Amino acid sequence: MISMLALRQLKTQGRRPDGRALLISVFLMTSLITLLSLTGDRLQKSLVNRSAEILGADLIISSQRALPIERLSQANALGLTSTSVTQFTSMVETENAMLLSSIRAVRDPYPLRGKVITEPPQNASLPSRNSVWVEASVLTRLNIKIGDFVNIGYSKFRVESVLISSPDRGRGFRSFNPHILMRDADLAATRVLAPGSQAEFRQLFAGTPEQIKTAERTFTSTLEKGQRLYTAKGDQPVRRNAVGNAGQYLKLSALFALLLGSFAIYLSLRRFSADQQSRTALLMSLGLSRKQLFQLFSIQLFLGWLLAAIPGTLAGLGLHQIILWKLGSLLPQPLPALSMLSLVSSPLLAGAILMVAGLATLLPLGQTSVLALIRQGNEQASTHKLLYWLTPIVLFLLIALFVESVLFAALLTIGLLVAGMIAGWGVQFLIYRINLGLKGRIRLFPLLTLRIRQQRHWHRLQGGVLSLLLTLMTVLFFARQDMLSEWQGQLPDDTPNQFIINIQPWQKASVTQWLDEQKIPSTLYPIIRGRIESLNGEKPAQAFTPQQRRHNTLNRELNLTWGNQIPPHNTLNQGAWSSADNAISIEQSMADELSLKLGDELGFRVGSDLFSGEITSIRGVEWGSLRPNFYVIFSPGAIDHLPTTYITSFKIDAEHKGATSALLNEFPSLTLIDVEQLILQAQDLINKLSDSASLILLLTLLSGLILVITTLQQDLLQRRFEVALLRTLGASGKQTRQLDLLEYLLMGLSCGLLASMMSETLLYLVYQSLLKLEPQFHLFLWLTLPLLATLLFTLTGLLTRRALSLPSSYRLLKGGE
Amino acid sequence: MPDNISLNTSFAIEAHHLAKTFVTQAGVIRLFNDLSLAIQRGESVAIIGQSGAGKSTLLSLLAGLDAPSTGSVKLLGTDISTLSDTDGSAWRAKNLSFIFQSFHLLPELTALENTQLPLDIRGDKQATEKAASLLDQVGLSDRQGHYPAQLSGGEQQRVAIARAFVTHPTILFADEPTGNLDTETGENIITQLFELNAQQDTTLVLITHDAALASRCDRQFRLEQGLLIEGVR
Repeated sequence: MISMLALRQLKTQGRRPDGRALLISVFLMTSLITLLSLTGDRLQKSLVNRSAEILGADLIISSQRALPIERLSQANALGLTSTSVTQFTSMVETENAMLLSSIRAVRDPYPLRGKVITEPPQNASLPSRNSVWVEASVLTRLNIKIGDFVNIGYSKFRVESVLISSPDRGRGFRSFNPHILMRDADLAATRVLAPGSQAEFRQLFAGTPEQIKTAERTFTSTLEKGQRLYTAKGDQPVRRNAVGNAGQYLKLSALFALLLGSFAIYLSLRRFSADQQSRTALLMSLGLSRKQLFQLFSIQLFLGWLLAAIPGTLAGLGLHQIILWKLGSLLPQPLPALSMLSLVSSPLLAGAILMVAGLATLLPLGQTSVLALIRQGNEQASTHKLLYWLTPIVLFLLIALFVESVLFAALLTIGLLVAGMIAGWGVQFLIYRINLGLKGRIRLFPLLTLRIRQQRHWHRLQGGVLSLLLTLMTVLFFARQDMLSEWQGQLPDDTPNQFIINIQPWQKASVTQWLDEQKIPSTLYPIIRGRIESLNGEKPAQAFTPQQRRHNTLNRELNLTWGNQIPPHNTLNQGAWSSADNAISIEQSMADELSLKLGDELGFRVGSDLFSGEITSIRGVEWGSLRPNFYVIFSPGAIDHLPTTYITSFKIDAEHKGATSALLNEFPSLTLIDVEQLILQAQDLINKLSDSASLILLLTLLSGLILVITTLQQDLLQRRFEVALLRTLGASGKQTRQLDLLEYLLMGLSCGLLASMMSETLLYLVYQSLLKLEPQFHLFLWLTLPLLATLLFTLTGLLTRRALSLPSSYRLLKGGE
Repeated sequence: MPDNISLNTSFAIEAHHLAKTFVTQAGVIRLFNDLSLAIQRGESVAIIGQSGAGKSTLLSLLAGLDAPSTGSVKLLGTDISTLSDTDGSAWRAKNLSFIFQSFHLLPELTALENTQLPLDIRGDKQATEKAASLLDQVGLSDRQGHYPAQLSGGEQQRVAIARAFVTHPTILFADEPTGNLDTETGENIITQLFELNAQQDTTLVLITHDAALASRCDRQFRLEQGLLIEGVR
């Protein structure tokens, strides 16, 4: 009997607007959380997988120069196993296509930890001689298959297997290119690497935890400049990368969605519970026990959950597939399998939230006295004080459990609440101000003023939620839009679109000749890698402040160059170019940040050579100009005896691009970087990421709207009652309609205006400090946001509004309806 | 002002051959049939009857809030059912007022704001002053800033009375005005109601089941089985 009653009641409830809002809230929350947790879980897992794999060893020393042999003897003495890896970026070619790839030359044993997985599987841990293992994207992008041949430098390699996964992928820009694994023994023949070439040399070590501890101590104390030490335990660089950020973003969205969803669910249930009062009193007067009442509500909640959470989960799964399809190539492949746990966790969470919020609001109905029937709803079943506080706490703990961090959940909840509250107050202030401006202009002003006062609590809530969500959406939209258009717009027509690096001295003349033949104006700049060792004879530790010591130029090897004049695309800001033997010209921002001035003497180390130069000029450099740019340029004579490679950049039209293939055929060891391609890839990446982020935010906005609808429904009865009273006091139907409309317009306008202000401010900050773009004023934003918000409010308002005829107004006041 | 509005009549309310039927699943329910009534300006009239006799429906018909199935109602010589929604509302705002059993004050507004609400609806610029003066007359000048929840039941009904008289209505409809009050408070409220009524020369239509209260009116009618009988048994 109870089940049948529950089913019948649910049927009626499903037809009522508040019942529908409850179901939609649960549906939206489940789909969003399913989407976010599935995506988050798979990202997280691939992250952990990569963390474990990333080293392929217990300890690694990495350097941009080949490691001295002493390390190996040290390692042997400590009983460690070790091996070495050389990783570099180079072009891989077939007859018809070429591709910039990250190549690892490895030797047995490899790797020391983790496993290289290939398809077809190979017994050996390394490719055969003159063979390579390549990632699947190499095959697709070069349009080749296993068994085909590729050229790397001067050598030809047979593609033996597809690299499914492998540890020790390296770091930074290099690790993002498609990977290729080859034998170290084949490296020399390619002639890709020569002294001064860009490559990373790694020594991998493995041993017992004790051995590693000792080795870490020993190695750290003897670490040379330019060498870095990584351990499996302390190595967290991936956490800071894009995947890590995406995970944080998903968590944040999940929290937002959960807070909005729980609140909407709680409010709809409260409404539902108020409706149930006299029905409950009736059932109890007919002899229903509290236990049966509990059963009745539990069954109803369970049925509601089935109806909304299961389709919600499926919808979330579908959206997850869309995001995967959208992000596809950006995610580390292969993706970990779909986890059942994260699939069921969101409907379970929705169920738990529904039960906690539901029973907390419905159970007090068990105390409803039969008097409620007689007194016609004048007596509200009051929620027990303990329950009143316990519900949000339990809900919060559930959410914290889900995002796996109480602190994160607490900080963000408080942050969002504070931001929402401030936004809510802001909206209310705007409503008040705009309304004041209407004084004497519209007849409904006094009524509108009363309405605004009456609805102020709800306005704060609705305004806070919606303006915050609109702001987030707007910032995301414009930041992307502006960043892309800035990239496309700021580059002049003659901006180079190709870089050639790793030009060996013996190739210099031929490359210059080729450029001349193509009638491409270009300069080849020598590159020598070196570090800053001293300032006016003092070590950096003494010469610079701790903050200055964090500057880019003091923490890595610099690309040094030399020439007869400052490059034409630089400006001379201070001093004069000097041809004296030890004269150097430095870049302006470096001079500013390190407090360097003309006449200062900077000491450098290149390999084992030490030398110094006196600053005679300071140059302005446009780093975004896509031309070879240098912090330090020497006059001729100081460093031109050191081993060097050359770099150049030039612009080539699309129709002449084929000519570069000819150049590479002639000099296979050159590395050609197609900047246009890189920019397109970056744009594609940003587009894909922000599309996915927008999709998630759009869904969050939808939950926000549902919350607004729920809040509008909360006081629907109150509103109906108010309209009825106004009608009997002489207001026309048109007047009450206008009053509602004015309220929605005012609300939307204020929300939109506040969102515009917040977005413009946030965009300004993001441009200034994050994107380093010139902040701009977005007129479009100020026009669309108020319009959009007004539209949203008016539509949701009209959706919930029911016109009230005069007779029904009177009957309502009489308590008949 | 539209042609069909005329104030040139000594009757406040003229009801001719009113009938009201409802169609329900169980069939047609005829609440009353061929009911006529005329009330002079300034008269006070009580309508009593048992629950379900149709007192409130009759009141809503007399006040032009609902349309009769057949017959017609003229208020101050005007058939307001022929007016547009806007004109009808304006007419009602100007001439009619209501007092309900359950006060019906808006909980978010103060006593003063509740009182001035009908003046606000018609855009009266002196709404606040007029409302304050009326509150003073019902003895609530020190309660102006209080919200309904801070007022007793009797005080709430006095605010409702002030709200009803603040527009100086020609006709006042009171539907069981003391139904939610204890006898003594009810007595006080009614005294106040009749005082203001006399002061403003308002036509009063009072619905009650209290014979003693009804006897304070000039005329009494009993609604019974669809018939309106003058005089109280």
